[in-house]
Amino acid sequence: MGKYYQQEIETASRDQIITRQSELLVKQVRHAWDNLPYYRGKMEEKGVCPEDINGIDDLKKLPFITKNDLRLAYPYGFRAVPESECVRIQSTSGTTGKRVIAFYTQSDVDLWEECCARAIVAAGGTKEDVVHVSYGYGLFTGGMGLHGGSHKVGCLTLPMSSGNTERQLQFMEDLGSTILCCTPSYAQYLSEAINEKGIKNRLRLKAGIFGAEPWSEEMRRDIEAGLGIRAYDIYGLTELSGPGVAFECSQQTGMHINEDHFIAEIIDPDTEEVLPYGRKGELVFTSITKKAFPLIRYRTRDICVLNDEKCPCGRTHVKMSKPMGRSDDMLIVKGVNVFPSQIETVLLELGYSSNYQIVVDRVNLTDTIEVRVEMNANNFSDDLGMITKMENKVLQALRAMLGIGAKVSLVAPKSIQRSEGKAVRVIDRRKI
Amino acid sequence: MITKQISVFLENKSGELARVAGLLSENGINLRALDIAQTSSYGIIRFVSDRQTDAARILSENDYVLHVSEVFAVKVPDRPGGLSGLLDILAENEINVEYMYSSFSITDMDVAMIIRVPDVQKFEKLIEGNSEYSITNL
Repeated sequence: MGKYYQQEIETASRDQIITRQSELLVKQVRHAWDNLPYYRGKMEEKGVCPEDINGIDDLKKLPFITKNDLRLAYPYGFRAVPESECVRIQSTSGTTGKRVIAFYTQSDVDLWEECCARAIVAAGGTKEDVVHVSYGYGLFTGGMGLHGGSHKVGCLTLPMSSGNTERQLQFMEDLGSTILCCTPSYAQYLSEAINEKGIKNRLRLKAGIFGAEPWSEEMRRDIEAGLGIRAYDIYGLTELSGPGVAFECSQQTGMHINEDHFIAEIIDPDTEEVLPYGRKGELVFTSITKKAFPLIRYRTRDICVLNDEKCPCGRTHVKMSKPMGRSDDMLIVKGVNVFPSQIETVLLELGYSSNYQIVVDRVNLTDTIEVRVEMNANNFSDDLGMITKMENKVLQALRAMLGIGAKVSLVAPKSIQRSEGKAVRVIDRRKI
Repeated sequence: MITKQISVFLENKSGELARVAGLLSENGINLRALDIAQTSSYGIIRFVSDRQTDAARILSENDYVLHVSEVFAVKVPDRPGGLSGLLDILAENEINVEYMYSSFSITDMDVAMIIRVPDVQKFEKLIEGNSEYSITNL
């Protein structure tokens, strides 16, 4: 195996790519029309039918799908094949309100794993490698995706999952892991632990594939120096398959989108107008090969730039920049998607006012989230024990809603700063 | 007779208590008893003053969250055994004290204990029938 996993596809000419995308798009739109009443409704509302879609130039005629659509259609509304054809589900880290359950046929799983295999090979992986997967396994796509990709390449795969750092280091040393797959913040954490224990020279690590949360170039340099490896970015969404929608090559200047499976567009998030390559906007994906969960023009809310300049690595697929932000208010904390509205729901249910503030920070390489709530007459009494009990109730409800622990701070009324009469809801102090 | 006590929510930060004391002082309100209960991040001050209605209004106007509760001020002789005698009576009668703190001295000889109990009537009857202790106002 050389530097590509599927050379013919990864280095196809632009014409070949566009032709393939056009053919698959026409089929996918027909598939969605026939099998997704929800999306068919959206198409009818826009006055579009499958006959109007003859190629990629017609893509812009189609309606968008948003996370809200997925929520409204939960859980089966976007499943386009009978359950008997499905072999797997994965789910986003959200909560009941925002959770998305994605279905996969066997072919969907295979194609997803091929995408991950491309990422591993682009990071220098061959069947001689030992791939150490420290993404979480389970509903989260990180673990399962890279695991499958590693199998496809033929690497020895270590299904470590996240946590238990001692054990991670022991396996890394004893089994000679060469490629580490995890979130960048966990990589940083492992790097510190390795250097503290002074075992770096006993390890064989050469590369890392890191994603599922935002990270900076500075963090990349940190990790590369700390672990003595090259660190590659990987991008994906459960809604589309999981990690491997796009991945970095040896150039480390953006992530090649697997355009034989996904058509990427950049739009102005406000006007929904399609923007040319090079312009910054919201990334929109159409999955053209997925059978069980075919999303057309799915708005990712990630803000980035597409670049179709020729890449020295030889791959011809368009590259996307690291996401530069979000067009909604979603936060990613410890790899988990957090919406301020979820926090607001909890607070209002427990009788607190909607004057709250979310402070996100990164302390000792770990994300922290603090929710500041203004005390009000409803929840105040002269009994400190009662207040502490109420505080714990908020703590537990937030944990149940978000899936991660948040610190709760009760603050004095009207102490949360307001700008132009509107509260500043989120303070993100992380330097990423 | 029942004493109205004001409880105020404060963050556990320097200057917070000074601000409350300052507001009361500016308005010529005199504190008669004061207690603080706190965690590492917030606390409650409970107090009795000579003008509780005014104190509550002024603090509310300044955006404080407060709670007015009914407590008793019981005159206790300022000598060894003064408090334990009172507590013995409460224990014998199975009256649980939610919290209690001391006032500033009300005479040279006496202080008042500010006591919060769940059963107000039972407490009042018990102390009124007792010759050593009496409910007072501040």
